[in-house]
Amino acid sequence: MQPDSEGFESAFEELFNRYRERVYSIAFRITGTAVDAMDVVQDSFSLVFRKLQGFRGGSLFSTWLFRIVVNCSIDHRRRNHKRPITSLQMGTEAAEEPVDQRPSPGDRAETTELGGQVQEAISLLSPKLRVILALRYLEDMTYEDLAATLGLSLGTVKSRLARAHLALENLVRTRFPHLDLSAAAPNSVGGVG
Amino acid sequence: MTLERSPNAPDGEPSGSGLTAECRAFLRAGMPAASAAEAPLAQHLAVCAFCSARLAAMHKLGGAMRVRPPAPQELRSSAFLDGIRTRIIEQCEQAPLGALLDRAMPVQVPAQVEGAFPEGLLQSDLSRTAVQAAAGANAREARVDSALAWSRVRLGVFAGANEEVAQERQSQRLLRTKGMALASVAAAAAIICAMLVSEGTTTQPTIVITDVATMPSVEFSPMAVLRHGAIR
Repeated sequence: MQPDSEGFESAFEELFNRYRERVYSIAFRITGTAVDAMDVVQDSFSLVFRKLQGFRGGSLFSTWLFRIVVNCSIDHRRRNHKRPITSLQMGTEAAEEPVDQRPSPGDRAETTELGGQVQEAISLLSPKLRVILALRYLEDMTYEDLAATLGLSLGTVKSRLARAHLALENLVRTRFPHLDLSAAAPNSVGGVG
Repeated sequence: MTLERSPNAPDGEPSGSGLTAECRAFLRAGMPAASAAEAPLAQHLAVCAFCSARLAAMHKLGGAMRVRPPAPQELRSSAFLDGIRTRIIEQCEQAPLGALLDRAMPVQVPAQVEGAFPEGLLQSDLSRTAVQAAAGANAREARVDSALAWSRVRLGVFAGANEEVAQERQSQRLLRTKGMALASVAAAAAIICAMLVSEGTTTQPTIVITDVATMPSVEFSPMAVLRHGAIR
């Protein structure tokens, strides 16, 4: 598909409509604010538009897209790293929509409150750890997907994810000592992710 | 990372010692639940309070991390998509190809325009608006030292003359004396005092042609356009 070909524009618009909210979620997790996340969405899709003809289909489109989003998010944070993250509330003020879970109202309220605290803790992690947690949990990526998206070996993905888990738990316990993280019983099949 | 295994802590709270090889293997395997873990990991999980605590915590945190932040309504607006298109255009213009196109397609201003000069433009507030936008609302109140401005015009004229002389010297070494002659010849300076903005009025532009040696009797303002003509 060429940029000047018939239908390119409508195809791009379709891609945008299909992926915009997923892109926004990842960008929000990495940048920490809604304003920055919106900026990253614009940056990412403008880059997609310019690079789309170079996408050969060697990987999933989503893998290719999310790699762009991750790079744009990190670049954005690097450009604005002197600006402290002051607002982490936009992700918690409104009711949040679960990706693939439908908890009861009680659980939902608890999860929403916890969501803001987790987002605050995530924003204190290093970009690498933030990225891998965002992709793992928002996109439910397997280790193989993570390795393909981030261009890492499987071993690096595993060790980085393990470090991210421990670092996040440590931050949450330090900043929100009243939270009871031992209450949830691990009863699901499979790993944490 | 300060969250470390403590053999003496039954609930696996962080303390001094490091992780065992089994704990590391469990963490690197993605903390599988006992029902899904391979036999060695499942056995380890059954006896390790530290790993059990990590698994429980990560289940709780993982649930919160799966929740998408609500996207602003703006994300679904057509204006947002238009913003992306605008950004694409800007990026293309800033790219090397954009610069190349810019050089390849310069704006051509016709030397002679048919039809009458649009006098109406001079009567309008267009120039005033443009100047105020560029210079700020206080531009009309700015004071200019006329003598200083004129000296700069003269310097500009002489610098231009000297530059031409230098070029002339390079191309025609035999004409060394021409530079001195050019520099000494008075240049004509055309001072176009356009866009003289005053409070509430629009002033007709005034064109004054004078010799470079003589300071003209005009009011210099920040909006005055100073040009020097051909060297005689």
